[in-house]
Amino acid sequence: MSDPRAKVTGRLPLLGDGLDGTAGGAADPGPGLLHARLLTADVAHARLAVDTTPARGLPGVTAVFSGRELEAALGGRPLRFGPVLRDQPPLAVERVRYAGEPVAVALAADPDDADEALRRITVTYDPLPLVTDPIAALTGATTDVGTSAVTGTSAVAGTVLHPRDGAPSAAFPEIRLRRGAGTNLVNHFVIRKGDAPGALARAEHVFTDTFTTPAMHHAALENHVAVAVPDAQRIVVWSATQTPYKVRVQLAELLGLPLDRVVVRTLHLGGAFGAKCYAKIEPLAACLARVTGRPVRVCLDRAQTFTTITRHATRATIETGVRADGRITARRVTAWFDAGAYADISPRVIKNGAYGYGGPYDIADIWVDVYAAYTNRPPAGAFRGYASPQAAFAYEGQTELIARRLGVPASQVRRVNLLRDGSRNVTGETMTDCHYDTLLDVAEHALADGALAGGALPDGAPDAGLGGDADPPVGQCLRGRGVALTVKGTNTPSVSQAAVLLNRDGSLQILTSTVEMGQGAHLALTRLAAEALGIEERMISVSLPDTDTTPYDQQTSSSRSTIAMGGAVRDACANLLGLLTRLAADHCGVPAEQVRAGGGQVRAGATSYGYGELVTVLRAGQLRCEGAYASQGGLDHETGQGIASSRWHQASGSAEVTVDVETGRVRVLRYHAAVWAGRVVNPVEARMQVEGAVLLGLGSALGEELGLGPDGGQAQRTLLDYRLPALTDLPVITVDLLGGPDDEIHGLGETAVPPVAPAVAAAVADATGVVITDLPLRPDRVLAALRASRGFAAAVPTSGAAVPTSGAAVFRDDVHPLQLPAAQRAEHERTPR
Amino acid sequence: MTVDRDPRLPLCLVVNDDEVEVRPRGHHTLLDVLRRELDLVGARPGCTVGACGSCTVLLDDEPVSSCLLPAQLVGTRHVRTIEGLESLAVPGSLHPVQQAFIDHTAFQCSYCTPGFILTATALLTREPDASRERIQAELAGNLCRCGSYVKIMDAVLDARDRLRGHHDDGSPYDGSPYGGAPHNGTADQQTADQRVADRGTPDRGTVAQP
Repeated sequence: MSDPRAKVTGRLPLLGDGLDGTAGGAADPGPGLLHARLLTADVAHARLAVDTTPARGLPGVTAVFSGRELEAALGGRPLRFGPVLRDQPPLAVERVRYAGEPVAVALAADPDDADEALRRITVTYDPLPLVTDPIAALTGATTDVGTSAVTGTSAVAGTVLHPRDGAPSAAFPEIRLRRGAGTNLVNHFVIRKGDAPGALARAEHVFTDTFTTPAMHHAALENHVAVAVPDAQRIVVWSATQTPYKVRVQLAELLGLPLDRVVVRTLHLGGAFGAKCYAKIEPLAACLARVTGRPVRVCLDRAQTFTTITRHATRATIETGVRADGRITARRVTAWFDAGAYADISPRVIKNGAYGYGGPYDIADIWVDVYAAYTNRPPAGAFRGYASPQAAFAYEGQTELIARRLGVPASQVRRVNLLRDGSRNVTGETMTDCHYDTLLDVAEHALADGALAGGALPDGAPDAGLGGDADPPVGQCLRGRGVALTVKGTNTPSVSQAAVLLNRDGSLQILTSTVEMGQGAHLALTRLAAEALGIEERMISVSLPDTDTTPYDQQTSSSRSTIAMGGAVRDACANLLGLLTRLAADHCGVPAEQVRAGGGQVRAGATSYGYGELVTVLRAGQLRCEGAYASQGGLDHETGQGIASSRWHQASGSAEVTVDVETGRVRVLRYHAAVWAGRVVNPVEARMQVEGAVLLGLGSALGEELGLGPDGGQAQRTLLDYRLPALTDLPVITVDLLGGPDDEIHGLGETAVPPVAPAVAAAVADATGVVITDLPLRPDRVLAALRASRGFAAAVPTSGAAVPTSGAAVFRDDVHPLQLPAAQRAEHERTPR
Repeated sequence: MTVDRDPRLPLCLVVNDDEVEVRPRGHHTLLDVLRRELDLVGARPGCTVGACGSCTVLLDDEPVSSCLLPAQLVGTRHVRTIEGLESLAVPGSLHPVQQAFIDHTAFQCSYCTPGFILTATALLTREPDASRERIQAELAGNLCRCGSYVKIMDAVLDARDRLRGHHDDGSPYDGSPYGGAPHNGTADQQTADQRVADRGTPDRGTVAQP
C-alpha cells in the first residue's frame, strides 16, 4: 500500500520517472539505458518502404530499425503479437494499417539524438484503399447510414487488411473464433436463445432501431511506458501494464522463451481504464533489448498513446417484439464493432457486447450477432465497461422508444421485463442475487425531490457544462429527467492467486499481482486481510506485481480484483490461521480443536501468543500461506448459452439535464448513481470509483468522440481536440452503494459507467421529446434532431420515470448545479428521499 | 561528424529556493529540465500541449504548464515544484493544501495531484477567500481522468478554510487516516437499504408481472 504522502508530494514512483529510467530507484534497468523514439505513419493504409540509412551513424545513435530490419536482426522470422490473434507487428512491415502505427525506431542514450535520427529516416507510402467502416469491411460494399459514427467514407470492395491470418496466442487459448480467413472479420459472436425469428413474427408490435457510439480515447494521463532489460538467460520487462501475467505469455511466445525466462514487473500506474491491458509497447521494448543487449525504454507521447488503443465504435440494430403493455417477447440484435487495424482483445469484447444486448431484461427468445471487423483505424480494445456502455446505450435507448410508441411509461416497460431471482437471462443462466427492482426504485426516486436543482444552491454560478464552454445559455432551456438500468458481467472463468507472509514482528506482507492504478485495490486487499486476521491495517503491506515473486493473477481488469484477488487473499489468510492453529497445538501439546487463532492472537489452552510472537517462539523464520480464487463458467460456442459471468454488476442512473433550444447544448445538472455493491470493503474508495465512473460516462455521453480526418486518419490526437470532463463540468453527483455487510462483494470499477449515457439521453428525450440514437449528444447533433422534430417544444413527452414534475417545462436556466459543500452533500446522501 | 544543431547551453534557474545550473538544449522545456536534469518528477508529462495541467509548476507563485515553457525563457523567475511545496509549510509537515488532499482522499492514481495542489495553492495564496466558483474555474485547467473532482473540490475548500484559520463547524482539524479508518461503511450501507425500505414498495400499478 502506498503512503498517501507520496501521492501529494509527487513521489509515488512511476515508471516514466527518473534521470536514468529507474523511477527514483524503484525500477532498476542497470547501466546503459537506451531511449527508443518512434516514427509513426502519417497515412492510414499503404504499402511501405522505409529507408533508415541516412539515420545511421549519427552521433549518439546506437541503432535504427524499420520493421523489416528488426525482424532480420532477430533471426528473420515474423514478429507478431496479440492476446488472441497474433496479427500485430511491433513495427509495421511492408504495410501500414492505421495512421499513427509505428514504422521505425531510433535508439540513443540521449533521446534528443534518437529524435534527430528519426528526422533522417525516409518513408515512402504507396496508398492502399481505405477501409473505415466495419460493415463495408465485411460486405465489401459502401453503406449509406447517415452520420453514424461507424459510417465509412471510402471503403472499397475486396480490401482485406490481413490477407494472412494471425496465429492464435497462448494468452487466451480458450477463445474460439468464428471467422473466415482472408476476410476482415475478426470474430463473430452468436447468441441463440429460443426462436427469436419465430417470436418476432408472432409479436404484437415489432420495433427496429439503430444506435451508434463513437470511438473513444482512454486518456489515462500517464502515457504507455515500458523498460526492457536483457540478460544472458532471460528478459525483465518493467511495464505500466494492467496485465503482467498476460504480457509475460505474449512476450514469451514472441521471443520463443519459456515463461520462467520472462519477468514482468509493474510499479503504480497513472490510470489505465483498460488501455493498459495486454501487450502494447512491451513487445517492441523486449525485441529492441534482445537485439541491442542493452536496457531499452519505450515511452510514448500523447499523440502516440491516442492511436495505440481506443474504445470500439459500434453500430447496433435492435429488433424487439413487444406486447401492448411493454412486455418484450423477442429480440434480435445485429451489431458491428470497429476493431481497428489489429484484433487486440476484440474477439472477447464482442462476447460481452453480445450478452450485453439483453440488458437486465427477461427475454425468452433472443438472438444476437455481433461482428468485429478490421478497419484502418487505430486498434480498439478493452475500455472501462468493456462493451457494456455501448450495449446499454442501445438497449436503454430502445426502452425509451418502445415506451413512447406504446404510450406507456418507460418505467412500466422496465418493470414488466426485469430479471428477477429465478429468471433466465440472455445466456440462459438462472439468475440469483438480482437487485434490479431496488435499483430502479432508487433511480426513479432519486431526482423526484427537486430541492437540489432550484435556486437554493449556494452562491449562484457561472454557467458551464460539458459539451459547451463557459457561455451563458442562449435560448430557452428545457429541463428533463431520465433513468437507465444496466448490467455488466465480469471476466469468467478467472483465476487469482495470492500469498501472505507473516513476519516475526507480526507484520504481514501480501504478495499479489493485482496492479494498483488508482482504483484502490491494494487498500481493499489490506482491509480484507486485516479483517480476516484481526490485525491492524498499518501492520500490512502489499507488494507490487513481479512475475518472479508474486503469484499468478489473470489480470487487473473487469472490476474483478476485490472479488477475485480479495478472495485469494482471504483464502490465504484462512490458511494462515489454520497453520498458526496447528503450529500452536504442536508447540503447546494440546489438540488443535482447543486452539483458537484470530484477532491477532493464538490461544492454546491457557497460553496465548501474538502472531509474531508465535513465529518467534517457534523459530519459524517467516510463515507463508497461499490462497486462490477461481470462478467457473463459459459460453457454448454455437449458442452463446451458459454462465457468462460469475457476478452481475447491476446499476442504475438518474440524470437531470437542461437542453438549450437555440444551441442544442445539453448540461447535466445532477446525476444519481446507484450500484449494487453488496458488501463494501472500503466505502471511501468505492464511492470514488462510482463518481469516477460517472464522470467517464458523462464524457462519453456529451462530448468525447474520435472521428476520422479527411485523410482517413484519426482526427483527434491531442487533448486540445479531445476534451475530457473538467471541474467546471461537474454536476451534483450523488451515490448509493446498495447492499449490506452480509452480502457478497460486487465489483465497482465499471458498474456505474453503462447507465450514464442512456440516462442522459433519456433526460434529453424527456426534455425535448426527441430520442437521440447516436453518441455523443453534441450540440450540433441535438440541434439537428430538435429541428428535424417539428413542434418538439410543444410535445409532452411520455415521462419515462416516476418524475411527474419533469415534462418539457420551459424555464430560463439561470442557476448552476454547484457542488454542495461536503457536509451538506453528506446530509443529502443520508436523507431519505 | 555532424555539428550538434541544438547544443546544450548553460542556464541558471531558481528552483525551490535553490540556484541550480542546468544545460538544456534550445528546444527543451522547463518540464524537460525538471525531469531530465533535476530529477524533479512531480511535474509530469500528460499532453504536452498545455491542456491537462499534469506538468503544472509555479513561476513566481503563478501556475504555468511547464511543458509549454522553453527553459531558456524562465529567466530569473522563481520556479516552485511540488517537491518544494513542503518548505512553505511548517517544517516537517505537509502544506495545508497537501494535507487537505490526504484528508479528503482527493486522488485516485494521483498522476494529476501535484498539478491540482500547485494550482490550488497559487489561487488560495492570491485569493484567500476564493469562492467555490472561482476554485472550479481556476482548477478547470487541470484534468483528472480518474474523476476525483468531487473530493478535489472538498479538499480545496477545506484547505481554503484552514488557511483562513477557521473551520465552518468550529471543530479543530484532526488528521484522519488515509482511506478512512472504518468510515461508517456499515452504517452507510444500512442507510441505503433503509432508504429503499422507507420508501416502501413502489406502486407498480396494474401491470401484470411476467
